[in-house]
Amino acid sequence: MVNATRQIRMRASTSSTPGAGRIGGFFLGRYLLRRMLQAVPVVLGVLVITFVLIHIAPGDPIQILAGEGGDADYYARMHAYYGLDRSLPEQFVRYAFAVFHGDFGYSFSYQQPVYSVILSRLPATLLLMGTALVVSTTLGLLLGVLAARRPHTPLDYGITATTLAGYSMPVFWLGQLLVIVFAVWLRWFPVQGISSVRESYTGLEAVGDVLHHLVLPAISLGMLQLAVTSRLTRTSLREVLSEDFVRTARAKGLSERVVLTRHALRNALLPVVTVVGGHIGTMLTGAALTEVIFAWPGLGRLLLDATLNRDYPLLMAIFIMVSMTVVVANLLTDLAYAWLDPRVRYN
Amino acid sequence: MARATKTKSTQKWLSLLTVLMLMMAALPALGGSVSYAQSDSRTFPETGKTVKGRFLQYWNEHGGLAQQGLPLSDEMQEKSDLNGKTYTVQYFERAVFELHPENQAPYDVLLTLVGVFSLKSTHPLGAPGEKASTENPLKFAATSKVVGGKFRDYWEKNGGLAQQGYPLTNEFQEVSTVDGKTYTVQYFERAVFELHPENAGKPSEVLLSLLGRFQYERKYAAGSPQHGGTAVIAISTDPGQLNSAITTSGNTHSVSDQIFNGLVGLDESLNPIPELAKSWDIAQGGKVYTFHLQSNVKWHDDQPFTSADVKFTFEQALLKFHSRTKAALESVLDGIDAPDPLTVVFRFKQPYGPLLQRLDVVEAPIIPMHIYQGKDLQNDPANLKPIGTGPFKFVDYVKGDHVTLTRNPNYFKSGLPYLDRVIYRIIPNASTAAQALEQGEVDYIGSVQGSDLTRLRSNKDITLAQGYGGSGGSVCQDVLIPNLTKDPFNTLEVRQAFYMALDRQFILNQVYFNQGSLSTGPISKQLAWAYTPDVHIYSYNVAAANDLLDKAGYPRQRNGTRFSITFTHATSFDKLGAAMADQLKAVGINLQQESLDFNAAVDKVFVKKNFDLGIASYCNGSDPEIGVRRAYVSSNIGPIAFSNGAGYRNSTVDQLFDQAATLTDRGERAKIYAQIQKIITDDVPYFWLVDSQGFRAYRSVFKGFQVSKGNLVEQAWSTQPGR
Repeated sequence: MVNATRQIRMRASTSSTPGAGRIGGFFLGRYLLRRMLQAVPVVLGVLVITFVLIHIAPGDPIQILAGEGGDADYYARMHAYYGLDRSLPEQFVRYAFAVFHGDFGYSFSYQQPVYSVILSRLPATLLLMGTALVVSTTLGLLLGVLAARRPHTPLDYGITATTLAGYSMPVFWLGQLLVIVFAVWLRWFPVQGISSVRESYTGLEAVGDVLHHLVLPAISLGMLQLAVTSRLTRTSLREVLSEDFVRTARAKGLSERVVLTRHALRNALLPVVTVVGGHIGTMLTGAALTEVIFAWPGLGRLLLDATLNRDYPLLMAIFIMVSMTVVVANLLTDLAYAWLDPRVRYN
Repeated sequence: MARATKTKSTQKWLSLLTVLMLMMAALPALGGSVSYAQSDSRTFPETGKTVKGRFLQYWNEHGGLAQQGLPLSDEMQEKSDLNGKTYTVQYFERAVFELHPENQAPYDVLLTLVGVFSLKSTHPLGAPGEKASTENPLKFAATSKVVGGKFRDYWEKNGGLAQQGYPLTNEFQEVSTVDGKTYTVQYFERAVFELHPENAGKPSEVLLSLLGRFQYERKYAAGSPQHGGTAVIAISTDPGQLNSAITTSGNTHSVSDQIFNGLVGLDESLNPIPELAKSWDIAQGGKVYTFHLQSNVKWHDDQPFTSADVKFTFEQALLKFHSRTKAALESVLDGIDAPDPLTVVFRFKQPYGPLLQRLDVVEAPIIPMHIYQGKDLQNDPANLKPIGTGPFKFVDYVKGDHVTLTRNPNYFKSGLPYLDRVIYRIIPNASTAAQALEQGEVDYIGSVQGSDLTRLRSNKDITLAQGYGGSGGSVCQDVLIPNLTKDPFNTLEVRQAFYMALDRQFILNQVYFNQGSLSTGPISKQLAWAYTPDVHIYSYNVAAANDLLDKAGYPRQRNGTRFSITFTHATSFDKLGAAMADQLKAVGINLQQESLDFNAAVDKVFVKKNFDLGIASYCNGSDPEIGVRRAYVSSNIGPIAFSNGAGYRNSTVDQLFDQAATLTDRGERAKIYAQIQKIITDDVPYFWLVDSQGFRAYRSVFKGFQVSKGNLVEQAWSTQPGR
């Protein structure tokens, strides 16, 4: 992927100043449709593979429901109740049939429809991931530009060292570190949770309370993204800045700001966008760990709990959702790509 | 105004009476053979308290500072826990003086039995793992306990019977709540001796616990229970749903046990006490149990609670979906009758002894018939908005985040509960939970990781307590499960050798951080009435283990290894696996690790039975019939979690378990269980590691947590309810 991007940029560098891209409505519509259709076999494949994988993994959801003890009769009854006594192909056909009718089934462990369990956990994850993604990408870009503008200065070295440290720290370790320093020692932020349980805030106070709780988990989740974005921006921008068209732009007497933002950065962003888009899937994994450490009531933790509990319907639905998110994220990445580089056409 | 005047005059009258009584109390003492000057007094700057008169004289004559310690209070009036009469008392660090003017000197000053109270509160199930001293032993007929060695020297030199009293226990190992180390201790009526080998040869080799101080703090530092306040309790997993009658899952029960009640409760020593049933009769030698229910019990929605609820709960919920109660009662129960709204009758096919032990809120919570009748209990929306009879009512459940409960003002136990609100906060990571406790974001955590213990212990805002039970099961043992159906564990000598090759003391210290004590057999020491120490003990002995393996026909090969086996376990046992592998090298056994998630490990060991060596925490429960039997009777070998996983078969053991279940007399049952323990330890079908006693930690402003019971917060209260 990066190689491909590189090629495109190399070609771009030989051409004249890139103009503003315009997206034809007709082509876009057809393109989107085609990409959607392409997504169908992907999602289907995910459905089959995950279904088989999680059902052949050792473990029995009934054992979690039973807790401790129980007799053969109990297990037989519960297996029958949840349809787990049927053959695997039969279970799959019944499940797939239900899914195509919009029914994702009933969660074993929560005793609720799967969609309502997922919906109840979605906002927390969207808030956490959204904040981490937006803040880390923005900040990463900014730091990358700063470092690229003044290469081999203390500022550059400082940014490089910090982002490298951020890049090498595992999420769970960074999370614990942040808790110890900023929650336990300095007492600036709470240790865990999405909101205070002792007080019941309303209105703005409630928003402030959630934001207060959001800071540490968002930092620990966003750190990797920030590091990657800033490193990539720096390298890419350094390369672009040394190219001929930048020299041309400067020679034309354009201000440094215009050269940087309209000419150089636009080109330099291409690989960054690819990587950020591709990272959404990875970020979900990070979210699971972050949510465990900070007791954040989101989807990542739900996925982990569903796995440990062998809550098949819930697990399947989350996997389908995650794979669709990745498909959509890829699509958005490609759209952003085309917007940045007008030579990319929907065909 | 008139009311105030009246109160004032009453107070005046009362204080006059008190002075009069004090004077009268002092009279016989003055007239006694020992006289002393009223003006004698000594104030101790360390505590600012004054000792005077007869107490000062006694203090001076009986070891002073070393034996009695500093005064913690001035003289005060206190009602005796023993006979309800009021006496003049004074608290010292190591003793409590009680003035008995009715007695002749020197018996006019008596020391209260602080040892007795202390034993009751720290070891309600009896002292674990007692061992009679064999060094210069002296046996006391009164309590049939033995004092010997260093403790006997100290006892004889320091006032003997009058000062220390009779021994209440033999010597045993106890983890000090002060420094977390394990010491040999012995409880006496008025003292607890603690052996400090690091002070060998010095007078401080035997130290006395600060029993006076413990007692004083327990009774006075906290004050009496106050109403109000909120407790935030950390739980590690989402409860999922909150109908505890259809599951034994500790995640559900830890919350729901505050919302529901059992028919019968269990006290600290696991004896049955009235709950929804105020009394009961047992007829036909244990075949018929008649329960008389409390009147005026209301469900949280104000509907009356009746015998129909009990009958419905058992027939439609517990006997179908509560896996433990179903497995135990379904086959032996003949029927349940509700002849009138306040009477429930359980009829058994043959006498059944352990019924009263298994009717508490953990084993048999009662749910409302008017909510669930005719519904699918597995999927009813009421499971997420439970209606109970318990001390707390359900308010809301935000998945993955918290569950809120509020005080039930109409709780049938009058005055209870004390707290206004209880919030269960779901915190999956144990380190995070401990940090949240330190920061005051939560008030109680139900388990403490070894790595957090030292830090929490040194924090004076936090109290540590060891418990033996709770919502997920009680009186548990960590037990290794060898697969007896295949080589090499089908050979007795191999099992004996394997058990002896494990340095379990090291494992207890380094892996368990002393959260428990060494197991000796299939019944936990905590279940004191059924436990016997008189069994085949396998001490750590590498040489003997090597001999046994040689004789059993497993010689060392060229690489020094005799055989390899795989240890299948949940990831939480990784550290144990590493320690065992290291120890087993000494006898030429190569232990390979197979570390899986909990569910997969259970599946592999119990269901697929594709394993060499597994591990499980078997909870004995309040009766061996609940949690011991299932692991040893041959009828329970099957693809079921926490069943007879080793595949052990011994027809004598099967018969004895059946016999014990049909008796109602505990003494008779204990005799049979003693026999069972002896036979099973001879056969070693399992390797019993540790009788668990995990630490719980809570903010010290809270009192009254029932740390070993399901209904943890029923009697909890805060010394700062306004916080």
